[in-house]
Amino acid sequence: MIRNYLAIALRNIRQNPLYSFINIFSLAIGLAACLAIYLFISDEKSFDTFHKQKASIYRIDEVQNFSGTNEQKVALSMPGMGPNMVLDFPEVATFTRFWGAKRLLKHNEDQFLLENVATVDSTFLGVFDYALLAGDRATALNEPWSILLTEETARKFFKDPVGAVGNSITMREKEYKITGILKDVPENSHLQFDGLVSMTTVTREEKEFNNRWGSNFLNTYLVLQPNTDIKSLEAKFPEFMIRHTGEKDINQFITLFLQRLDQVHLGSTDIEHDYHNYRKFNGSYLGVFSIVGGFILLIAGVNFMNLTTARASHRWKEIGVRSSVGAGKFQLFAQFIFESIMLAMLALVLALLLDAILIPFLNRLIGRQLSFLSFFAEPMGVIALMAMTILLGMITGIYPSFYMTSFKMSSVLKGGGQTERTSIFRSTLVVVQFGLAMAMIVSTLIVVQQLSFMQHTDMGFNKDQIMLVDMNRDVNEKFVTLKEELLKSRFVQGVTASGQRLGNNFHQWSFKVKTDTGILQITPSNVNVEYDYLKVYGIKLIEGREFSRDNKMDAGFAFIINESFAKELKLKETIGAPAGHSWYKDDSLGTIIGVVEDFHFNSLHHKINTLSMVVHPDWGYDEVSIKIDGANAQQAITEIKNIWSRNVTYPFNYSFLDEHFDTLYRSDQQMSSVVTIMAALAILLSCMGLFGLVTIAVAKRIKEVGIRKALGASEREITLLLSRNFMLLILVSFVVASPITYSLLTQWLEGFAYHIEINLLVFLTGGIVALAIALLTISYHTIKASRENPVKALRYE
Amino acid sequence: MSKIIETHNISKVYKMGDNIVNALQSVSMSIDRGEYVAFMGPSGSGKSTLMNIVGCLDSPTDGTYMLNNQMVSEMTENELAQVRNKEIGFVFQTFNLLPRASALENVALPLIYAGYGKSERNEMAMAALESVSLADRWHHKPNELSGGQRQRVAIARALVNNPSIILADEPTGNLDSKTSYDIMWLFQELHDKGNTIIMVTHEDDIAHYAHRIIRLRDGLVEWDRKNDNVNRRPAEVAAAH
Ligand SMILES: Nc1ncnc2c1ncn2[C@@H]1O[C@H](COP(=O)(O)OP(=O)(O)O)[C@@H](O)[C@H]1O
Ligand SMILES: [Mg+2]
Repeated sequence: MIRNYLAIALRNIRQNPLYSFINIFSLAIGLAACLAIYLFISDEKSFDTFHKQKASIYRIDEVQNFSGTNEQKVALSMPGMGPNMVLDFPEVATFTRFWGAKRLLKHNEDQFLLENVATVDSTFLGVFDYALLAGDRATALNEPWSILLTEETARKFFKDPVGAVGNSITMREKEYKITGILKDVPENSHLQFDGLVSMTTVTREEKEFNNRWGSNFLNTYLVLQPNTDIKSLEAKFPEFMIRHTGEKDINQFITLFLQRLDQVHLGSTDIEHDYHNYRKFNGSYLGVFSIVGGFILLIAGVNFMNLTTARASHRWKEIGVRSSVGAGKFQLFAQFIFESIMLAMLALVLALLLDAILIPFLNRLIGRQLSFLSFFAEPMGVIALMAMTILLGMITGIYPSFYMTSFKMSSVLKGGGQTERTSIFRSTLVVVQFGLAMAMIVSTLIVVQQLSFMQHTDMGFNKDQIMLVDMNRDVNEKFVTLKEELLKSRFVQGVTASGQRLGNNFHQWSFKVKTDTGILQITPSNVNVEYDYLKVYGIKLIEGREFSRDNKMDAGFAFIINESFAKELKLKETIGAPAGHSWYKDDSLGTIIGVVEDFHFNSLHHKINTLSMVVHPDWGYDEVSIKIDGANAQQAITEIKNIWSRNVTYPFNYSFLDEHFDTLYRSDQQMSSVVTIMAALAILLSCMGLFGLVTIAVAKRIKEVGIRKALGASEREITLLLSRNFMLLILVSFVVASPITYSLLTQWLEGFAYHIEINLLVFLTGGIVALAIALLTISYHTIKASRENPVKALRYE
Repeated sequence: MSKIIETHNISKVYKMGDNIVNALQSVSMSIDRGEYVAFMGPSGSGKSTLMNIVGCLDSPTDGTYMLNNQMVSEMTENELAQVRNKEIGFVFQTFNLLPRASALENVALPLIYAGYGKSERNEMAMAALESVSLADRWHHKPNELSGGQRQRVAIARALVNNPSIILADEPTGNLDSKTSYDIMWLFQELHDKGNTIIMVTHEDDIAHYAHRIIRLRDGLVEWDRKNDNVNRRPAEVAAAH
């Protein structure tokens, strides 16, 4: 029986290469797209899944609501929170803190700047399952001045990294003992580090560290007992905070909340000061991707159903003959389902081939290492894939099979007697198909527009050709000479420094301004800058003066604020107002010396916050900003590097500010790429289906065309006649799809504090593009039919 | 009388793979306005091919064809469409009605392409249906009509735009003999009114309703002569009326 089915199916493919091609190819593209999306999603979802306790691990985050500043969620906590929660709440089984920093490590003659050496509690390796190559995970972080290095880091200093345990290494003039070697941190870990230092190192030096409150600067992770009710635990936090901080109204400013580990990677787009969240991704885009993948498969499925039913009449004879020789309805049905499963299987093979070729390109486009081989890594993957494909074949096969076997056999055998039913179902499917394709085209246009808006919006400062170089204390001390030397180079156009990098929300802390009515407490973002900061970044001063080296009080006692802050203050005379950080004595405040135009120091997802800039060289700067001659970037880098190593010993580690801004929009950028590709596929598939349908529809009307031509219809009239219905369907899809798309896009745009307005012209463009492509697709057949010799058409039976 | 159709050495070659069919070899003839001509001959002799060329549905491989003193080969596709619409009325063996359109709509079809408005179209189509005695069936679909009725609808359609020539390819081929005589009677009436009629048939009997018979064989004119023995209205048909 199966062999018989197989023979019939193969014959059908051979006899109708065009339809078989469209069917198989569109299913293959649909499957290939879905596979790629699945790989993308599972890559994102795999983050932090290697920790056995993942379901019980939570990160402490805060909602901060300070006066004079935008409310914000932050991934920061205070050192006292973790240790005291374990003591106070039975629900909290254990905790670990993670306090990362860039560090310079030295061993003998070698020194390397490491991106992140994190100070963590001794429980860290019990909470998280980072693998250890050497050392005892239970005790490695117990003693002060213990350090664990990743294999990659250890290899920089030692020939045999695993054997490095027991050696010592120098960091900030202190000797640390290497107590373990970590396997390199997996790519899918939101925490990334090069080394771990025991928290006891800190608590030994600062006895009260575990009871420090007030400032938030590290991450705290809790392991909760099974079945803990998160809401009721969170409800206990306000009282906890009052008890420990001793501030009655602390909860007006800070609300703690818990974020489950799997949400840290995918659910943190609205969380700021999130410094240890590698490749964080907007999880809601994964939903968008699955839906889009589903759409593509749906469009492919529609092609299959439409073409198969539209061609049903070509098989009536076969059906009639088969049933007249005794094939039961069920057997016929089974045969058709079998055929569609077989086509789906062929499509799967083709899909895997397509993915093998295309995924490397996709990887390059979105900067990932997806591999479809991961499907074959485990038998379950293969089985699931096969099962999915068979299911797909069955689902898409059911309707056509019903359609084909539901004819009255007598009328089938009589031949021409069966009048073709105009299929509302088929038309609906075409509308759905083109509606989706159009929605995706319009979405692509809007998304691309928004991204280009973000790339080209005037940030209010100059982010291009700014090179950022890490500094340490030594560089800070030699900064004045270094700067002088750098400025001598013809490739350097400006040099300044700052305590925090642009593109984040700067740290907020309390600030006070003396007014006629008393002291005003306010919490703006703050940044410590060097004298030439405004000049180098091209930030526009609108009132007052810039910082000046000649003015002694400008070090620590002069503030330049932004417009938003000035507006918030509502002073008659902003310039000259006495002001200072919260710990300044009321009688020894500094002065507001200038107001600058608002600039986007944070990404465009966020509104501009109130900001105060101060020059405070004693605090030390984090990064040198060097504005270079963009036309000679390579020479500039080489020369700066030389100047650097002539003046300071600290390693020359640089990056560019515009690249940093690009990473802020990485989620959006990748979403845009995926949507663009999918939109292209959607319209391609829809048109392939349309092409098939038109082929069939025109073939069915060829006689009518002949009659009309014989009666005097012109080619134009015939083309119009044949195109009209399809054009109508596409117009209907446009009308149906537009409002839905509009509201979805509006929602998406609301995620950006600064966004474009949707231009209705874009919708029209999307509609016209789809219509034009569809017209082009069908015109091949309609024009050909209209040119056809009418005699041929009239002979056609 | 004026010549309405004039062919000079026209031939038609069909290529079917390696096979070459000389459907017409070299046909020269002329037909005057108001003539009633039958193309007769056995099946495959080239009658339909000749008629299709005469009707501007197809073009000859070689030779010239003048219609109303105009060189057909020099006409554009749009001009040909106009000629088919205004100058020629077609009647086919298989009727070639649109199955989903009513009798009235079928008859009105050429008028759409002639650019008439809807009410005018309906009026003219109704008149044409009346002339074939089918006015009362105007709303019927083709499958609700008998073969003879369908052919009468087709004739009404051929007449509706007042063409110079009516071309009929085996108009009785799908009809029983009684109905065939009805159709022939209708043609006779049309001819009497002054219409030019060219009819293709392989039946000797039917051909003898025409006033001139051109006999084809193997794509050549075998003979072309006046029919001195025109069939008149058959007695039994007259009796039935
Ligand atoms: N479209 C065509 N393609 C190939 N051969 C054709 C075509 N039309 C007609 N013929 C061949 O040309 C010859 C004449 O056909 P036709 O004019 O239809 O003859 P008749 O109408 O006299 O029966 C026949 O041999 C026929 O098979
Ligand atoms: Mg014939």
